Amino acid sequence: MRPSKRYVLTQALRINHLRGKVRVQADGGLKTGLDVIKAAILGAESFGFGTAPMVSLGCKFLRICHLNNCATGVATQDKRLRDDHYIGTVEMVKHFFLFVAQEVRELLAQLGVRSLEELIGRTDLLQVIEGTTAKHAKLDLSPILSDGGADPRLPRFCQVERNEPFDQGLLAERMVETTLASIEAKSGGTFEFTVTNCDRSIGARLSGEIALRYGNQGMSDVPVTLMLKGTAGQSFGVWNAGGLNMYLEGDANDYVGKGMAGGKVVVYPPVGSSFASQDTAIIGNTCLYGATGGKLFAAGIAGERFAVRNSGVHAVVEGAGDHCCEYMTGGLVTVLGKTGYNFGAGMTGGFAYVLDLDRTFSEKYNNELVEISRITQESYEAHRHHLRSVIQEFVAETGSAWGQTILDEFEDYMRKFWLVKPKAASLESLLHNVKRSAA
Amino acid sequence: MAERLDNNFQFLEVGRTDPSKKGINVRKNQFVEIYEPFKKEEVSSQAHRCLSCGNPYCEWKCPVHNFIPDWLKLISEGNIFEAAELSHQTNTLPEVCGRVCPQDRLCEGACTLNDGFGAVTIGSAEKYITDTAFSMGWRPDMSKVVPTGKRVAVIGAGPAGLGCADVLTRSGVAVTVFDRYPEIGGLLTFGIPEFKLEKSVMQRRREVFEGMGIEFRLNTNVGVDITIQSIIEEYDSVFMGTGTYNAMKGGFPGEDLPGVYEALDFLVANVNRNMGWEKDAADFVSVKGQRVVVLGGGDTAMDCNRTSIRQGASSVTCAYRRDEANMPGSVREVANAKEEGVQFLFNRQPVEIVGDGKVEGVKVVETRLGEPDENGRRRPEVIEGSEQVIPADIVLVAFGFRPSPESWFADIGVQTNSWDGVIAPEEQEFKFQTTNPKVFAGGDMVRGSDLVVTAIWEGRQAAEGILDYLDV
Repeated sequence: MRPSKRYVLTQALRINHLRGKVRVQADGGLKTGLDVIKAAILGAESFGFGTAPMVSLGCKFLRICHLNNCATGVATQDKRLRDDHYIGTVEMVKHFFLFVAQEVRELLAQLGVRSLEELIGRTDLLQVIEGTTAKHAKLDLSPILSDGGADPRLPRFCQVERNEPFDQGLLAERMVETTLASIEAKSGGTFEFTVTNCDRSIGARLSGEIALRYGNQGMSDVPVTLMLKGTAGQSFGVWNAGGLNMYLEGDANDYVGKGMAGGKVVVYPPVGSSFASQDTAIIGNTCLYGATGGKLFAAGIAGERFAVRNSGVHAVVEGAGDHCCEYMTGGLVTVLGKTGYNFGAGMTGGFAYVLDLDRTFSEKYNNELVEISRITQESYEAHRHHLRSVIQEFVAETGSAWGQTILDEFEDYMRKFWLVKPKAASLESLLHNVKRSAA
Repeated sequence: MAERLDNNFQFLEVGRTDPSKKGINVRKNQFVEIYEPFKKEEVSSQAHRCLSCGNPYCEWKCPVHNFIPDWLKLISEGNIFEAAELSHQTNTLPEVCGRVCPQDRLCEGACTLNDGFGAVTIGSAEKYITDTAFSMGWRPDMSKVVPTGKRVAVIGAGPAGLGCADVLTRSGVAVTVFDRYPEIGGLLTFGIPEFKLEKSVMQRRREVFEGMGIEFRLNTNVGVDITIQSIIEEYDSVFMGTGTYNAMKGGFPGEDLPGVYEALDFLVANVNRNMGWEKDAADFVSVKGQRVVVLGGGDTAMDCNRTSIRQGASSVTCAYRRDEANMPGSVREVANAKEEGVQFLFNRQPVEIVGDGKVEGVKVVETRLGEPDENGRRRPEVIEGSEQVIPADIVLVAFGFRPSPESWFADIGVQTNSWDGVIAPEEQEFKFQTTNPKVFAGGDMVRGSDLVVTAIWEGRQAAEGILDYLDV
C-alpha cells in the first residue's frame, strides 16, 4: 500500500491489466472493522490480522515472544506455561472476527455500499483533512487517492477464483485407485510407481484418504508402502500421515515432508550411482517446514532452510544448507555432514546432531538461543548410543554407504559430532522428549 | 559484581518472596518497621523475576510512572547507584513509597505476573535501592545544576511540598520550605506510624535535601508565625501543599463523648510521645489496658488498630460498614493487622456511640450489600433488627479527611471549590496554578485525601508549572 515513486500497487496492477488476476492483501496493525474499510477503499480485498486476535486469546503484548517465556502461554513451547497459563479458546478468536465483521457491515451500510467488493478502490470516498502539524501539511496524498489514469472499466479486484495448476494430479489419482482397497480394508501393502517432477504433492492424496478414515496416525501399524522411482515434483510427502511410508529411489524437489504428521519418507540415490551421496543434493529447499511428526531419511544433501519450524519429525540427512533447524520447536535432526550458516536460529525445542569434519560448525551456528557440546564426555553416554542407533536406522532404510562408513568407524566419527540444543533445555530432558514424541 | 543472572524462566522457577517479617511479639510491642530489609541475593533473585514487558503495566499504573523494569534490571545486576539515580528521576521519595504505597493496588497489582505467578516484589526492591545507595554514600548529583536566581517558597513539608521542592532545586531554583511541625514529612512523619515508616527515614531525607540546597524553616506556621503576604512579596512564586486535616464526622449521636478521638489526633500524639516532640503531655491518648473500637476501613484505620495493639490495648476491634473485599485500605496492611491481633467486624455500620458521661460502647447495625445501582456500585443496606453494642472504652474515628482551607486564602485571592478543595487544575497553561497567578497548589488540598505517591506526583508537576511560569 506504500506509494512507490509514482504508483501505488493497486494502480500499477490495474494499468498493466493485472488487477483481475491478483488478490491483494493488506496487513500491518489491522484491528477494527474501520481498518478493514480503509484498507478496502485503498484497494485490498484480503486483510491480515495478527496482534489483535492474539490479544483476544490472552496475549498481553509483553513483547518477549522471542524468549520462549511468554507468561500468557501464547508464544512459548514451555509445557508449564502452555498448560497452566494459556487461557485462549477458539471462541475468543471467533468472537473477535465476528465483531470486526459486524462493524464492517455497519460501516458499509453507512457508506451506502452493498458489499465489500463494491468498496474496493473507491478512493473517492476518502477526504483529505488538514492535519495538525506543519509536517502533516506537507504531505501530498494525491498519489494514493488517484486511480493512476487507469481505464475505469478495468477490474478493481480479483476476478478469478484460483490459478489452475499445470499438474492435474493424474498420478495421485492413479495411486488412489490402486491403493484404496488396502486403505479401506486397513490392510496396508506395498505398491510401485514411477514419478516425474511434474507430479506434485505426491502422497498427500493418500495421506488424506488415510487421515479421513483413521486419523493422522490411524494406519501406522499397517502402513501402505510406496516404492517409487524417479524425480518427485514439489512437496513430496507433504502432510504425510502415519500409515503412509514412501521410498523414493531418485531425488525430490523443494518442500519434501512439508507439514508431515507421521509415517516415513525415505529418499536415496538410484542403485549403482557412482557419485558420493554425502556430496550430492538429493532433496530441495525448505523440507519439513512446519512438520509435526514422522521420519525423514535422505541419503544426500538437503537444501536451505531444512526442518524450519519442525516440531516433531526425526530426520537424518547427509548435509544441509543455510538456516537449518531455524525456529525448530521439537523433534530431532541429524546432519551427517556440512551445514550452512545460521544453524538453529530461534530454535527453542528438540535437538540436533551435526557431524563437523572440517571444524567450521562453531562459526556457522547461531548462538543466540542454542548451545553446542561434544558428546565424548562420560555424561553423554546415552546420547552416543542414541546417535549410533539413529544412524543404524538411517543406513537400514537408505542403504547409505556414507552412513555405513560412519558406523564402521563410529568411535572416531563420534568425536566429531556436535550436540545442538536450546540453552533453555536440560540435557536430561532431550532423550526423554525424543522417546515421548516417537511413541 | 556478582555473576549476572540470566534466566528467562526466573519468574516460573523462583516464586515471589516478600522480605521476612519480624517476630509477632516484637510487632505487638515495639514501634519499629515490621519487615526485615532484603538481602543482596534476595533482591537480585526477586528483581530478576521481572519479565520486562514491552508495555510495562506497573509503570503505567504507578502514579509517578517509575521506570520499574529498568531499575529492577539494574538492581538484579547489582548496579545500585545507577538504580538509585534512575529511581530518583521520577520519584522524590522512593524509599518512602517502597514502604507505604499500597503496591497490591498499584504496580504489583498491575504486574503481568500477578496473574498466576506472584507479582514481582517491586515495593521492597524500591526501598532496598535507595536505602542501600544512601548507606553506601550515594547522594543526588547536583553538580550540573545551573542556578537561575529564582526563589520559591513551599508551604508544607509533606510529600507534595517535598516533591515540588525536589524538582525546583534540581532545576536551579532556590527553595525554602515552611512547615509548622518540628520535622519534615508532614503525615509521613506525624501520621504514619513507625511500624510502616521509621522516623529515621525522613530524618535522613532531611539531611539529603539540605545537602541539595533546600532550606527548611520548621516550627513555622504560616499565618501565625509569618504572614502569607510577606512570603508572597519575598519569593517569585509560592507552592502550597498543606494537605487535608479536617476529620470527617460520622454524623451520629455520641461522637463528642469523652473517650472518642479523631484518628489523626491519636496517631500524631503517639508519634510525638515516641520521638520526644511532645509539647503537652495531655495531648497523648493512652489506650493501654483499654477496649478499643476503631471505626473505618482505610489505611488510617489500620494505623490506629496497630498503634493501639502496640500501646497494649486489652482488645482492638475494627468495625467497617462494607465487606472485606470492599475495604479501601491496602490488603497487605489488613493482613498485618489481623496477624497482630485486631478483630474485624465487617458489614457493621455505627449508628451511635453510647455511654453515660463517657464511652461505653458503639451501637452498630449489620449491613449487606444491595443490588448494584445504575453505576454498578453496590451500596450497603441495613438488616432489620440487627442492632448490637460493641463494648468500648476508647473509640477512634477514621472516616477520612476533608480539606482544611486556611483563613488567609481570601486575602491572597485563592479560591476553593464546593468541597473546600483549592482550585488548581493540572490541565491549564501553568499546571496547578491557583486563582492567584503567583501561587500554586497540589496534593490532598487540591484533589482531596489520596495516596502519598499521588501527592508527590502533583508536587512535581506543580514544580513544572512553576518553572514554566517563571520562564526558566
